Amino acid sequence: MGKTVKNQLHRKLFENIRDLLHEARKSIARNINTAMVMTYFDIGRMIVEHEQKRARRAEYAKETLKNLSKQLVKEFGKGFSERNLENMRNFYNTYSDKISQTVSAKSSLGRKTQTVYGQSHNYKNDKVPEKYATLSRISPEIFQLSWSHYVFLMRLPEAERKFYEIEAIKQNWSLRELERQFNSSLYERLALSRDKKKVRELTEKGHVLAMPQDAIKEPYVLEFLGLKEESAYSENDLESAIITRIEHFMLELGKGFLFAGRQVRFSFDEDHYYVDLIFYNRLLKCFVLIDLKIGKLKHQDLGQIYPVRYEVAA
Amino acid sequence: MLSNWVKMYVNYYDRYVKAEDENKTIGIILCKDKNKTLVEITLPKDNEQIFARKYQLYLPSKEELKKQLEG
Repeated sequence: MGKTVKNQLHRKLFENIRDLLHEARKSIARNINTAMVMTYFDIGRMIVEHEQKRARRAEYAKETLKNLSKQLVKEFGKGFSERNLENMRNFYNTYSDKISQTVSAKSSLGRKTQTVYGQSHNYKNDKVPEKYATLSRISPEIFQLSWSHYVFLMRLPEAERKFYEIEAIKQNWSLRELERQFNSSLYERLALSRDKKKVRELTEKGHVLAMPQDAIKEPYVLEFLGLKEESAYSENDLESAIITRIEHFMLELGKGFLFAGRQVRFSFDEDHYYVDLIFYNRLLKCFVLIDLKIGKLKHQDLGQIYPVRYEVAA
Repeated sequence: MLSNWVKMYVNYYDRYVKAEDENKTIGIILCKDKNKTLVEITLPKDNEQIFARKYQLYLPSKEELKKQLEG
């Protein structure tokens, strides 16, 4: 066999294996995501049904969510804040029409649907355990975006929501990209423009695609899987060197500083914020938060991310 | 803009983390750009003079922090 032929064969082997690995990663990310979104949809359904049965009064419903959140946070982490449970309820309310249409269409055709756990079953409606009724009957194609995408989409008026949802799926937008397109009013621009093709071409410029690895590192996903969030996921080398230096400096000051956390996250809906360092000062009896901003880009980011909708109470 | 940013964290801590008998949260923001560094310290506004002095006693100064930032 000639050398070039051998090399070519070898390259082919490598490429095939590489493609396979990429595909496997993508499929894992997709499955995790589907399981998570469908689970939250079902949690939403359970909450709505509970409220319809028992908690018609608004105060009572609020109390229920509060207690539920407390219990879930204890066992499953802070993704189950009251706010997020409300998101799950809204998610169910927003998407239940879509599901029931698809489910009835499917069951009348008697087609196979896939469960979250990946096995295929031939369901007849009456055989599905009542608890997981929706979970097992929804086909995974219905929810192709991440939970964070849906939390963002749920806030939009219906027509716009549908538009951005379809675009995000079609063009594989990351959450960032979805927000960017929304902020640039793609929907309005398309509606107003005569040259729709041109507008679309423009939107495809500088476009951030969702990578499967990123999807798994997303804080809500890690939490769903019960994995620990590593601060290394969100720091780069320069940052981490400076943060480490400041950390030691504060602790060695000898003025009552106790280390309380690094890269501590708190989340408002789909937005995650990290405080680089948190100390507690036992002499002042207060928390001291330290945040590091590096480089020009971050300065511009500031204006952009600083959340208008979570007004800072002065 | 920067102080707004850290204010969001501070308010979150005051509202959800701080216990009633603890004092209000302090925010420090450190900025490092190609050729300059900037340190801002946000102290609680409604504090008496006495507290302000107490804070000064225990917090590192802006200059000290800047030095750490510059490495």
